[in-house]
Amino acid sequence: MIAARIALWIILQALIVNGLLFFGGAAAPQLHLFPLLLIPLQSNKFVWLGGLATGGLALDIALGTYGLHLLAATILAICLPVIHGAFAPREGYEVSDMGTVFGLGPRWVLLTSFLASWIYCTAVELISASQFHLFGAATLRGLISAVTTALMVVVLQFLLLRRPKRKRN
Amino acid sequence: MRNLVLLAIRNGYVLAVLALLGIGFTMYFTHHGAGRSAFFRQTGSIAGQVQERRADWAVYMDLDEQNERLVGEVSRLRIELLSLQGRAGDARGDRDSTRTGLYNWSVRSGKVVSGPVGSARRLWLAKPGADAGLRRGMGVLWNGYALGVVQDVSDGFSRILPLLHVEGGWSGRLGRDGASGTLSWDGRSSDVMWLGGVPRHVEVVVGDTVFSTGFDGVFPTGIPMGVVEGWTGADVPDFVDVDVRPLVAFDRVRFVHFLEDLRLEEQRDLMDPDANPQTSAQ
Repeated sequence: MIAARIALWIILQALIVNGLLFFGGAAAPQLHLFPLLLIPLQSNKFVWLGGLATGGLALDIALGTYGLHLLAATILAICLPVIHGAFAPREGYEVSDMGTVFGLGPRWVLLTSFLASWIYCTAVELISASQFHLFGAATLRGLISAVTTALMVVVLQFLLLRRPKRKRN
Repeated sequence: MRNLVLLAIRNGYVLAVLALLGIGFTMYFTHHGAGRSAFFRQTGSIAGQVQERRADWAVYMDLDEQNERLVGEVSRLRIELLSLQGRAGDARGDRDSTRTGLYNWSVRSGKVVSGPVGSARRLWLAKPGADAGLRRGMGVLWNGYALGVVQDVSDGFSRILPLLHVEGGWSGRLGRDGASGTLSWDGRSSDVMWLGGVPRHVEVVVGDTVFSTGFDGVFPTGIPMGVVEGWTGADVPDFVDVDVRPLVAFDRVRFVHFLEDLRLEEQRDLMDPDANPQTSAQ
């Protein structure tokens, strides 16, 4: 199910989102991160690494940007456990905890999504720029893309995820 | 092998990350000509600066070797100059030409392996040895100045008795035409040697050079040995001891030249006719 969701969002990203101009081209949101950030928090770090790398590679194949997203996804996979650890509740994550607005709250999702997409987008922009004199503009573009992506992830979670039913006593 | 596998398993995550980064960069630079060229243009300038620094550093580190070669070359040229002076004087018919040259002397280059300075009884070790034709009794020069004599040789090395050795005694002369005496060292200060046996009536001038006499067959005539610093009254009433500062910078000696008198055998035969009756008959 998770794999199918990831594949779907990669197709969406490649066919639709990537062709859209956000803020006159100042931002390039990476919406394929949306399903990737929904991987269960207690998963093994190899699962995160494998999921993100596969997603990045698939997007590379779809867009013809061979290596670009794979590199960014690998860098994100290294950083993601740190991000999750930084925003973990005092007692730690529960096995059933999901990184959703209904599970850990909008604030948690917004912050973790922003940091994750900031790392990812900045990596993509910097690698694409490849020149030192373009790094400033690339960093700014990465920041705007990250903000856009994080906001869209929160909104999408509200729109697409179902609120868990409360148990009746 | 098992440990290697265990190590790989233990660090599997790091290895996986590195592998993915490697694959990513390889794919990116393989498929993106612009990115590749831009990346290498940027890294190329950094690499160029690093290489330049590295080259500068290598040159700096190589200076010692270059300096060594230059010192050896200067030393060789000085010896060559001495030899040419002798030949030129001989060609002019200068009767004193043999006093200032290495005419009829063969010269071989060498290098000091160990040369303790300030030790009263330590001998020096130099290369080469008997394999290169060195033998006992050959004089040793440094930059054209008298340094010592070969005391013994092995196949590859030679042992040198330096001027600064309490057992040494060297035949020296005050100036080119002055009185001769025996130059020796008492083992105290490496700056002062003594030229003994100088008659009291001889005028000793501070600053005069002490040259080799050539009497001992170790050095040719006129090789500079030291500079007169002063003189003191000797125990013997008719003679004085002249203070001589050696010209060799003993702490900087690296390259030396070995001298061989090509007419030494002839001189010995003449001095000792019984050893070679054929020569005496002629």
